[in-house]
Amino acid sequence: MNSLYRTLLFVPGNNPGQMVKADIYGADCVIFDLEDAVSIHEKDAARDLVKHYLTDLRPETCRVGVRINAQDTPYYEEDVRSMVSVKPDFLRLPKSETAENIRQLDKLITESEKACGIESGSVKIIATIETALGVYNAYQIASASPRMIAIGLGAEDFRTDMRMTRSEDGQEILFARNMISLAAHAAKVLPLDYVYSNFKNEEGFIADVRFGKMLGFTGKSVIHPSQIPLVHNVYTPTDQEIEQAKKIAAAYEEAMSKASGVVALNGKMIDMPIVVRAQNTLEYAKASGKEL
Amino acid sequence: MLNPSLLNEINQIPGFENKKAFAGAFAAKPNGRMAARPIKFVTPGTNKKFSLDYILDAVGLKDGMTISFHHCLRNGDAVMLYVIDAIAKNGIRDLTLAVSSLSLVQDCLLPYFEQGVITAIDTSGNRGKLGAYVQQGKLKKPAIYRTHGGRARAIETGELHINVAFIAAPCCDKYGNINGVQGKSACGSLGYAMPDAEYADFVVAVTDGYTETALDYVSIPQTQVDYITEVDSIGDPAGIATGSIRVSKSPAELVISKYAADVIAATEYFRDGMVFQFGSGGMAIATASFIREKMLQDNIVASAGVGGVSGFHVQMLNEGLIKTFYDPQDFDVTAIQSLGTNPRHHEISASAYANPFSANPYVNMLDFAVLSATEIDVDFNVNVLTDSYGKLLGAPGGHPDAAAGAKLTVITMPLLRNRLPMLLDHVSTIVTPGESIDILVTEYGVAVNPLRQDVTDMLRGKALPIKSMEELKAKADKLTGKATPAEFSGKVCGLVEYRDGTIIDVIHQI
Amino acid sequence: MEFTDKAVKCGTDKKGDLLVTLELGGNGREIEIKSKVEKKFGEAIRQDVLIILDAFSVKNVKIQIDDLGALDFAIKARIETAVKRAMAKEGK
Repeated sequence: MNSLYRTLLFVPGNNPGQMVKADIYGADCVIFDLEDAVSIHEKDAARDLVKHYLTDLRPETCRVGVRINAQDTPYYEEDVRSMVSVKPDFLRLPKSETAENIRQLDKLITESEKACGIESGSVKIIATIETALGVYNAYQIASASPRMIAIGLGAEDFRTDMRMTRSEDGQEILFARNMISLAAHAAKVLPLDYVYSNFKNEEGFIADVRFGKMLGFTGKSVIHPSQIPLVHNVYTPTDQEIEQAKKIAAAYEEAMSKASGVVALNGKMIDMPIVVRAQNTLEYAKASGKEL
Repeated sequence: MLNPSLLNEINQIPGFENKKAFAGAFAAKPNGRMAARPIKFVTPGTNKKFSLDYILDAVGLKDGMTISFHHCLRNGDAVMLYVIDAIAKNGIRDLTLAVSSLSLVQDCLLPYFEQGVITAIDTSGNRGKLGAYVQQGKLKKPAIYRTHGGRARAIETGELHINVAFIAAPCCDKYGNINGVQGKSACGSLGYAMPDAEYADFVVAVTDGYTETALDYVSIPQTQVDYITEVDSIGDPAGIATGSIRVSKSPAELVISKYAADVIAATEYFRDGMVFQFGSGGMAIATASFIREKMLQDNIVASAGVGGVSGFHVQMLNEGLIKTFYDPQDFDVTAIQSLGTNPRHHEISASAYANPFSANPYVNMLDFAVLSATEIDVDFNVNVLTDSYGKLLGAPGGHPDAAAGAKLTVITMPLLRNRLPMLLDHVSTIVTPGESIDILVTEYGVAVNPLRQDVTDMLRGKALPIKSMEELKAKADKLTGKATPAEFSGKVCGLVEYRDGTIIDVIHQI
Repeated sequence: MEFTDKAVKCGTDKKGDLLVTLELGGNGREIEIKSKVEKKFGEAIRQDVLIILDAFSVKNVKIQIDDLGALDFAIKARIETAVKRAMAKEGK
């Protein structure tokens, strides 16, 4: 299992046939969905399915998250209590609008962890931001709790909330994407790009992923297995980037062993952010199966 | 593999006295000569075209004889029913039906079995109602299931003596030349009919594409064909040739296919000038399409393709990614048309393709073969003939032949089909021995046969999901939960023959 | 199997799922299982049902299962949901 969040595959929590296959597609994370994919009459059934699945057959090759229902629904509380009991790596909260939403969730998770005898802080949070207010409060949301590991954009609902007209190239959501990326990096959590639902348009999808990467997104939520290798390809470092990263990592190792405090390459000083980025590049390279 | 007491039992059956047990993929030490072929003689201008009734009389078809058909019309075949019905009406009974395979459409023959017109079968595949009939133990003696190469061997060594071969002929001229690429019921390569045409006592062409003009494309020559009979239709084109078989769209099958392509490309067998065989299902075509991408990336061209052909293979042939194709069977319209028009697309007989008793069957050319399975076990033995309950539903076909001939044999298979595990301690029926199988590719990872340390070394450090068979088995067991083991009745109703004529397993009554 | 309007349903007829009809009450545990993989996994399915019934201390119940190759986790989950729905219906 790697520590990357390049791809997060949504799997409906009420379809056992699909759930069994969740971990074969190579996604870095799988998110079992109790929210949009599940009808209101089946919320209880989905909870039981995900609970038993994670108890018996928890995937070992990827991270596991659960998208619970929004805080203002009658399903939210029971979702959190029952899901925490099976220790997912994270819960994904839709319609996150304020720091208070996150604080409330944090509190409920802490209670549930205690009740289940789970180490406090084990279950992390990813917030989906899908309203105008949410985008506006992105930094506050991203920094509201030590459990926060990422924030993602929910473009569909955001467009609705903003009364936007959808365009071919997604211009209208450009600001929101930028905001999420900025806020995430400022809060030192990961920004996750929105779901591109037209999985049949391979070219359009790849272009969209590339653009997101350019904006600083470190991963993308996906809804179809075919999208996974395409995202991973975009996030695969080039041989050149890998070579450069190796040199920087080596320079860092040298500086550490000499305890000189100054990392230098070819006579130039290298700041820590560059070292971190180089280490990151090597991690992506390794995850892509490239020989180092 | 085969119980000695079972072999003893088999040797008591007339016709199976000399059957031996499987002793290894290349244990055979054949010597001697092929069986003699019949001498024929006609004066110039002799008419060969008659009614079927006339022909049945002329060839002297009697009770207890063996008749043969090919399965190149697949599920569109109408010839077997037509001929057997005429035979039945002529009061002839107790025949052995020797066919290259039986498809579901041949369920229509069930009444003739029940009436005792047919009392024994010699085939590759068996399924549906006929399969069920055989498994109720209703034949006079156990059915014999052969590989494509094994059937050719049996015919050419004389073990399988055919009295009359009825050859469904999409196109037939007045001299008796036959091809499968022209006519309204074109089926492509007639490879499976060629051994029959050469060795049967009498050869009858059954055609709906009769022409007075000499054929320009000849698959089976006039020198072998004794009689011709004309019918309105030899079969249903929709059942004979499907539309082009498409790359699988199933995400899980695509995962398996991609792993298979990655694994193959990481071995030394993926090289410029390679020779390969891909099966023709959606998953096999998906694997072929991933291999094709790698060939384009690395500027690699295959010197030959061998085996059954569908539209995707033809595309690669036309793109120049495959230089030449040796074809014993065509599955769709694109393949049939290519065979008929492209000089680099060659029709070969089942014997040339896979008969192990030759100076080099074409399967021996294979660098790698990508095949499927109904089941596999921890020793890499493969089943393609029965399901997990021992029920007949497939055929050995060319599987054991290609697996033996190929330097690298890759099986692509889902670990589970619904809840049923496909990786077991023991397969229900062994068709292809584990020693011929090198790699298993599933959606949960790839296992290499421990017999191939060289392949394990080739794949090391290449970011491939390599697992041990034990790990994959543990995964299968974890997913499916505890299964009640299958129980088979003691009664044998079929023999599974390996390509060299030895018996590798049996089919039990259900 | 005969059910009254006290019965609850759960599950779907999709591949890998099962359809459950369950009614609390009656005489003991009556369990009827229909499955394509009955021969190999009929016993395993039965065990899954009993595990959940034990967990909820259900002694008297009628259950009809139409299985489409569901794995153990799905069987246990569907039975659990059905039991909870039936209990909610009774107002427990």
